[in-house]
Amino acid sequence: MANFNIDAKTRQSYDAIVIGSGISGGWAAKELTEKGLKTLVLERGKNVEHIKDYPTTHLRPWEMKYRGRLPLDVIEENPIVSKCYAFKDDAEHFFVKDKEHPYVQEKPFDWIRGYQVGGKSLLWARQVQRWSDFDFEGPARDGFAVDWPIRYKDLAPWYSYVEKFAGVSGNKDGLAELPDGEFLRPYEFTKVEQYFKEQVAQKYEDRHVIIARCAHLSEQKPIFTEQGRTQCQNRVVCQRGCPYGGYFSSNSSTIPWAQKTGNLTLQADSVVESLIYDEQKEKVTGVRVIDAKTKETTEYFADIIFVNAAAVNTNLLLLNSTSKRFPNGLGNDSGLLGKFMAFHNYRAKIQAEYDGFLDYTTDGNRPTSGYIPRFRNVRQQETNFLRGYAAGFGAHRSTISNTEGVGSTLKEKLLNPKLGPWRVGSHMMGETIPKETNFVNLSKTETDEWGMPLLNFSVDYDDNDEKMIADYFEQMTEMFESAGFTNIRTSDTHQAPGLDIHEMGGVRMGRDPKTSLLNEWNQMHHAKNVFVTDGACMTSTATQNPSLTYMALTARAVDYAVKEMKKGNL
Amino acid sequence: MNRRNLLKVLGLSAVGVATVPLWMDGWTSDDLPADTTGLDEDQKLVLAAMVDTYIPSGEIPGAKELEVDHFILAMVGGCFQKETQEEFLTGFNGLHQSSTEAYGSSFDQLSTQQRVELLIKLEATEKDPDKTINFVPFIKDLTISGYMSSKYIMENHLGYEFVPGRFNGSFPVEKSVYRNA
Repeated sequence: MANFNIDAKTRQSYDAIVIGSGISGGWAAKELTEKGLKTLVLERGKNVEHIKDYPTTHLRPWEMKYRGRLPLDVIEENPIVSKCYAFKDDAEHFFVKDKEHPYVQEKPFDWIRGYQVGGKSLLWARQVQRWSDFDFEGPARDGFAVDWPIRYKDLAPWYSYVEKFAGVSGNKDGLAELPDGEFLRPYEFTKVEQYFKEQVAQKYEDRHVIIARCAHLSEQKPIFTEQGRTQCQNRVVCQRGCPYGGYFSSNSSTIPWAQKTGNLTLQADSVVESLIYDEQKEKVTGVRVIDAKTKETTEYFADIIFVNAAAVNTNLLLLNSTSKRFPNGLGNDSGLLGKFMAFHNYRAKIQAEYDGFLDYTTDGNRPTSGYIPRFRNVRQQETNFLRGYAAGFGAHRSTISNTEGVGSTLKEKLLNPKLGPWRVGSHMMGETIPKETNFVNLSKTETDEWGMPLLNFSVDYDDNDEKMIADYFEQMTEMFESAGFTNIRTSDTHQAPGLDIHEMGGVRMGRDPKTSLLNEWNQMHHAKNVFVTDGACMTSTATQNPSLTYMALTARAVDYAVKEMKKGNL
Repeated sequence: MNRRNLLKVLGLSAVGVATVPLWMDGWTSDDLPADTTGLDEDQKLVLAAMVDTYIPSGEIPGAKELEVDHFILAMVGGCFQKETQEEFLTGFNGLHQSSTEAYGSSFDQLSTQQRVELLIKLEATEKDPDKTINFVPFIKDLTISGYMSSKYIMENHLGYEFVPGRFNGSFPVEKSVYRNA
């Protein structure tokens, strides 16, 4: 009997498998389970249960080991992830450590990852701006990448659909370049932000300062109560995980919702090694999974596969899914898989001061900031570079810390802090042009602990990005000067791509199977029951923080996939 | 219940603040990571005397009462490179030398007036570009950051609220804790 069960793999079947539980995987899980499909969600990292697994969420500054600072040994062991603004003592446990998951940098790329249930949806900056047709039409108008196979009207109802469930605070600004959504009440401007908005409106017809739309519950509604979420309490320590569910994450929202349907099987510590292509059936039948802890391999089967492993890992997984039919990676007849990677250019910053409105300050905290939608090359080409940039904008009172003296004079100064001028700042969010020369591929020699090939990055800035930075400095300086801001300082961080944490592309959407991997429904041209709805699907990047678009694309793709499945087309 | 309300309940005046035991704050230096700097007991007395000199006790507790010296040891042990940790240790020898040369005894044995004088003098003169830190200004900076991030000071004097539940973008300065501006 010893060899009776030669194939020790347990065979398990589901209606659908979702690879990844981050912001898009969570949405796939919610939509599929709500539509009655028995769904397996595979997450390569550990489980993180809402509230229960937020170990730092209730800590005050003096309760943090080093008052929020990271010990030196953690910083020295993690030169890459330490560059991320949110990698601090209160949230470092949600970030991938450099040594645990190495990768190859043919060109420098700061790859910031969150391997756990919820992925980076626990850590994101929660900014949710819609795209407009000025963005979708970009590649066709300006002659780069390929034409998007969809337009704003295709996605608009799905933006509304996800916004109503996730909860989005914002103001109806009536801007064609940044369409309004289903908004909860907006957060307030500070006094100087309001002033700047008015100054800009007076001088420039086409430039607008608005309050950024963010995925926070600025007010309560029955749909949020039903999810077990309550109003944002303005703590602004979101990266720790929010016990109120005040901001949207997979953990607080889509995953518990999917669990309530009874149709979800959530399996953590499950590294998907590849998608299984059945040469006889001529379709993908399932996935091969390595247990992250025991390294044992198991196969799972399903009618539909959603790949939501996070943009770059989705590329890795598809490149690693080879078969006789697809020797260069699943669905990769075009040879474009892994190519045309792009990101957002976050290198440029500008700071200044303002001496007006000194009778005013702010009170409490705000989980968002001001925002300047793209105003360059929107309706026509008008500069020496393609596309443009959006910008964050904020103004807050500074405090003056006078630390002169010793003894009671020093104590007196410390206990009576004084307000300084308003500090004004902005950062650029530039669109980058996807190019064939910006790519990821698999290392031929190196593998990780689980036997997966290491991913190699060859992604860089180009001349268009440099010109855009120069223009941002010029335009913002002019806008700041005309508003009477002083002590204006520009800075270029020269940071490598990646730190924007907006890597996109490699499995792009398009109309033609010869020049794209996915069709207008995020469906693989050559593997019809496989859908890719994370950042990998992006044909171009626009300037908006991309998560909201992934959510809307996911809900739309699930709706299509389930209809197709019911018609027997998959 | 916050400390201020508790004081009211106990019928204590504001003058009584400093005499209220710190256990009422619920934070002790035991919550800090253990000291790994290798500072000896005599030097720990000197460190306590330094933080006490910078921010002395009074109606409002000073840095020593709020155990800022323990905070400094935790920070130096956990967040600074080896070279800085060594310079931190040798800094005590330098201070001892300056103290005995000027006044004939160890820093912690000096009068308040003498300690203040010495720290002011050393703060102005310690400017060695070859070192990762200048000892006296380094201790001063850490004293200030430990004091200002202490539970007692943040809650009672800096208007810290963990869960504000609001944002007001146009708030009159006269109503703010920064009204002294």
